[in-house]
Amino acid sequence: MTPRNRNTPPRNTPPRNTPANTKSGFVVKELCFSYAQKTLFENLTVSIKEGEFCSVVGPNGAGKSTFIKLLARLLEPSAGEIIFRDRPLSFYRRKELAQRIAYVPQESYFALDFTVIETVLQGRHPYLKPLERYHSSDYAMARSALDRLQISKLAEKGINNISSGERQLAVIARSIVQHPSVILLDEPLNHLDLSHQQQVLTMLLELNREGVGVVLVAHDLNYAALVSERMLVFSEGKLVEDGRPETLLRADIVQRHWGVKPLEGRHPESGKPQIFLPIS
Amino acid sequence: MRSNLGWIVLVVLLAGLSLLALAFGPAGLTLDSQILASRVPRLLLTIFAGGILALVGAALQGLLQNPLVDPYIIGSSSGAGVGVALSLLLGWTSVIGRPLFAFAGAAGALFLVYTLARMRGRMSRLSLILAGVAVSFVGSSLVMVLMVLSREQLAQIIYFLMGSTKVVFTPTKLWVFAGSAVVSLGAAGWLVARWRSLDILSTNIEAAESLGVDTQKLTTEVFVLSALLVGVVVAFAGAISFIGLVVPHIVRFIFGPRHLRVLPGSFLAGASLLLASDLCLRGFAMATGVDLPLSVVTTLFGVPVFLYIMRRRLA
Repeated sequence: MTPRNRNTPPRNTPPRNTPANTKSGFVVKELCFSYAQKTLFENLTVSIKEGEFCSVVGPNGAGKSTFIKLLARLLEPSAGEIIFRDRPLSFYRRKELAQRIAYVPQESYFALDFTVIETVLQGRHPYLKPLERYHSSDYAMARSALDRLQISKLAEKGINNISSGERQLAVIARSIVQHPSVILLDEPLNHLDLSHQQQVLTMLLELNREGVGVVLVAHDLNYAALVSERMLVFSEGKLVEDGRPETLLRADIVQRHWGVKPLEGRHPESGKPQIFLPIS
Repeated sequence: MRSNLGWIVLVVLLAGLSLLALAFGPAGLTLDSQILASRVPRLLLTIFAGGILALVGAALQGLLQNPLVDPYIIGSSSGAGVGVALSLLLGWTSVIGRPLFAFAGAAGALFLVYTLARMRGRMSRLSLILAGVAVSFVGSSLVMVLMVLSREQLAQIIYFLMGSTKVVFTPTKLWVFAGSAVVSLGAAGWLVARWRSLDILSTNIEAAESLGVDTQKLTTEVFVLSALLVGVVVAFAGAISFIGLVVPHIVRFIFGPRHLRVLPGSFLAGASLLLASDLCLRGFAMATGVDLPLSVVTTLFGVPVFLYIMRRRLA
C-alpha cells in the first residue's frame, strides 16, 4: 500500500491534527426527521468525537443511511440540530463542508463518460475557484489516491466501462482527495470482491490512524466489529445501543435487535468478537 | 493532443466560414465596404445565435442529465413566439418592438416555468423539464390562436418561428443587438464558469452535494441564464431548431464530456454550423429567389448527425 505523500500538503488545506482542529466532531441534539410516510428520528441525541472510527449498524429500515445523510447535510432535520466542530451544520457553505466531510454513497451512477482520473479529480472541487483549473498538485493527489486503492491502471478508463466494484473504489478515491476530517460511508463493501474489501478496510484504518474520522454504515456486523472502535446500533429510528464492539457483539444483543440468535466466536487474528449464523 | 487539434479545427472552420459569408454574394466572391456593411451584422447575428443556442443546449443537457434536451424544452422560446405573434397582431412591428415583445414573452415563460417547477421551495430537474414542456405546449397553442386571429401575418409568424438571420438592421436595432449580445456573452461566460459543477452533477445528486456543489443554486442559475439567453436569440433570430440539440453531441464526440471544453467548443461549433446553414440558404435564395427559414436546413442536417451519434453511443 502506498502511503500518502505527506511532504506536499494540499493547497488551502489546514493541517489536520493541529491543536486548533481538536474540536468536538458531531454533536447531534434532539434531532427529529421524518419522511413523508414515516417518522424516523425523534429527539435523537448522540455525539461522535473527532477522529473516531464509528460503525452504524441495525436491521433494515432502522435509519442508518438517513443518519449519515443527515450528518452530511444531504437531508435537513425537521427539528433539533447537528453541530459540527462547534458550529451548526447549517451554517457551513457547501464547499466548506465538502472540505471537511466526505460522503460515499451506497451506489453511484455517472451520466457522462468521464475517465476514472477525471472522476477522482472532482474531489478537489471544494478547494478550487469557479474558473480555476486542476493544478498538477491536484493530479498528483488523485494519482496517489488511485495508487493507494491499487487502481492506478484504471486511471484512463471510462468510469462506466469498469466493474461496479472498481467504480466504488474510484468513488472512495474521490472522497480521499477531498482531504476530509471525517469520511461517511454507506455500505462501502457492497459490490467489492474479497481482496478489494480487505483493501478498503485496511485503508480506512490507515486513514483513521492519520486522524480522519470514519463513520461507516454496515450490514455485516463482523467487519464492523473488526475495524471500528465504537458501534451505534439503530433500530426503527432509535439509537438502541452505543458502545464498544467487544461489549455489543453478543448473542443476546443481536437477538434483541435483529431477531436471530447467532453463535459467538472470535476473530483468530485480532481476537475481536465475531458472530456466526447457525444454519441447520 | 486530440483536443488541441479539435480547437484548431473549430477556430479555423469558423474563421473560414465567416470570410466566406462576408464575401459570398450574387456577384461571386467579392469584398467591398458597402456590401460588408450589410453583411457584417448578419454574420455577427448568425455567429451569436448559433453559438449561444449550442452553448445553452450543452449546459442544459449537463444540468438536466438528458441527451435529448434542447434549449427550447425550458419553454422560453415558445414564450418568445407568443410575444412575436402578439406584436404582429397589435401592429407593434417597429424594429425595436418585435425583439422587445419576443424577449418579454420569453421572460414571462421563464417566470411561469420557474414558479411551476418549484415545489416546497425546491426545484428539481424533473419538475423543471415537466414545467418547461407544459409551458411550451401552452405557448404553442396560444401562438396558433394568435395566428388564426391575424391571418394576414400568418406567413410572417411562421417564418419567424422557424428562424432567420436575414434581419434588416437599422442603426438603433444594431445598437440594441450589440448591447444584448455583450450582456449575453457575459451570461454565457457565467455558464462556462460553472463547468466543474456541471461535470460533478453527472453523478448522484447526493454525491454532488457532498462534493461541494450547491445543486439548488446551480439549477436555478443555469435555468435562468439559459432561458434569458434563449430569449435574446429568439428575439433577434427566431426559433432555430436542432442546433442546441445536436452540436453538444458532436462536441462531446471530439472533446469528451468535460464542460470546460464542451461549453466553449459548442459555441464555436454551433456558430459554424449556423453559418454554413445560412450560406446554404443564401445560395438557395440566389438560385431560386425563395427565402427558406433556417430551421429547414439545420433540421435536415441535424437529424442524420444526431441519429449517427446516438446509434454509435448505443452500439
